[in-house]
Amino acid sequence: MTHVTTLMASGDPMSHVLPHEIARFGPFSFTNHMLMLLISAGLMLLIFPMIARRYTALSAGERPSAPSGIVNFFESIMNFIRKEVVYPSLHEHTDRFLPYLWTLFFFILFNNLLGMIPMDAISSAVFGKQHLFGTATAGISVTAGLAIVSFLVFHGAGVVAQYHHGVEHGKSAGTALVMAPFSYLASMVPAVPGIIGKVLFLPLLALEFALSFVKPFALAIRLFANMLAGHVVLASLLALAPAIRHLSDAGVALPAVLGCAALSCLELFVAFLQAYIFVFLTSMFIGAAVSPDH
Amino acid sequence: MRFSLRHAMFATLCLTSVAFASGGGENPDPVIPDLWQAGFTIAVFLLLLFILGKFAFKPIMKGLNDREAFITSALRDADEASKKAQTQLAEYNEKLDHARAEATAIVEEGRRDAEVAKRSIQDEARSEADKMIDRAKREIGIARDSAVRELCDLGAKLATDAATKIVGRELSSDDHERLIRESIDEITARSASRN
Repeated sequence: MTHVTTLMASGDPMSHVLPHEIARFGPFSFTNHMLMLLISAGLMLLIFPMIARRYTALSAGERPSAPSGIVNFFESIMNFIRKEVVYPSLHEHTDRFLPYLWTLFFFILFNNLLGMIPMDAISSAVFGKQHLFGTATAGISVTAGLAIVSFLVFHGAGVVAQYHHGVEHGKSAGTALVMAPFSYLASMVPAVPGIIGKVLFLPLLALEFALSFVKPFALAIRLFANMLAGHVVLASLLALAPAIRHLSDAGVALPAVLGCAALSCLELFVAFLQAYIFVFLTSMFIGAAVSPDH
Repeated sequence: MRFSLRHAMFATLCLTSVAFASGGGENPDPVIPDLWQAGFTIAVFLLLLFILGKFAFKPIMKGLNDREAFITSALRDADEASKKAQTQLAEYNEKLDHARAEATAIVEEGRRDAEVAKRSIQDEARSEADKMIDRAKREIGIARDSAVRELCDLGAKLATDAATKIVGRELSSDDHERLIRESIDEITARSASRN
């Protein structure tokens, strides 16, 4: 039991996943999660324009050769997101929201994957400085930021869709603009026929209104909790290492190492899965907002 | 005391629980978002969306749409070409069957014509041969008659000469005629008895 007490005293698995300040600019602190966001953004700015160059370099009417290597990898994912995730929800609106959803997916994925690389351990071994890197998506602030953008996008898209709907049905642009938010709120309520529909309209409206805030909250918490939990369990398993001092402790070391390896594989899967779920749900919410009849 | 697997599992659970309960020491609450960090995330994301949307995703989207359109059109063309090829194949097979039937008919007709021609040639040859044979027979008959006649004349002349020598006097023309007639009759009778 002494070992356990020592372990609990020495190890703090949460410190591996929480944001840590690495610089301060007046009242604003610059954390390792912000650095990871910038690294992810930088990587995306390197990779995607490189893929786009295949198309922009072509003259009119010329077709690009079949993609290969890393370009093929990213194009396959992009095509999968477009055809299998976004199109079933958005149909004719797919191309309008696709750049946002691609950016969202790859931004989350890059942050999830970068968080799996033990850059922090390497930097502390090389530079002697801890918590320079981390998993940005294991921070609620980051996931909340992304969920806020999703919230604004799907409600904004709903309001814009109602505005266009109003204009198409003969309303003036000004009237359609003023009425669009109210029409959008009304469109959230599922159609219930008869007197029951009229009675239930207001409670359902309140419920749907509350739900519209719950949706981004659930998006943020889901991504944050999954990334955080995975990394905390990994860190907890790795924290057993200092307690293994004798050869007889191999019975603990082996399951710990194997557990870490298995959990890392699971985390790799979760990294893709969570990015997929975030984008899938966001596209579903946008689809419900722009085409409430569907 | 030995550090067992049970202890390790217990320690992992404790560490995880304590970690979540404590909130990570220096950070007060891991589930309370920091507005500055959230705002920074939004700013980075929107900037990234703007740049990628303008310079990367637009051409990629166009490229993917073009490729999809090309593949769809190529598949449609291939499908149409396949249908056309099948129709043509059926047409060619039909033509081939027709040509084969025609060829068989032509061969059959040729064989019939050849048979007719063969028969006609054979008949002609046979008739020609018969004619030749008849002509030859006629010519032989004429030649024989002529030879017989010459022989008769010669015989008559010889007989006259012989008779003149034997009789020792010139025979009158009436004698000649009588002798010739007698000789001819005798020769004719002899040749008839010989045949």
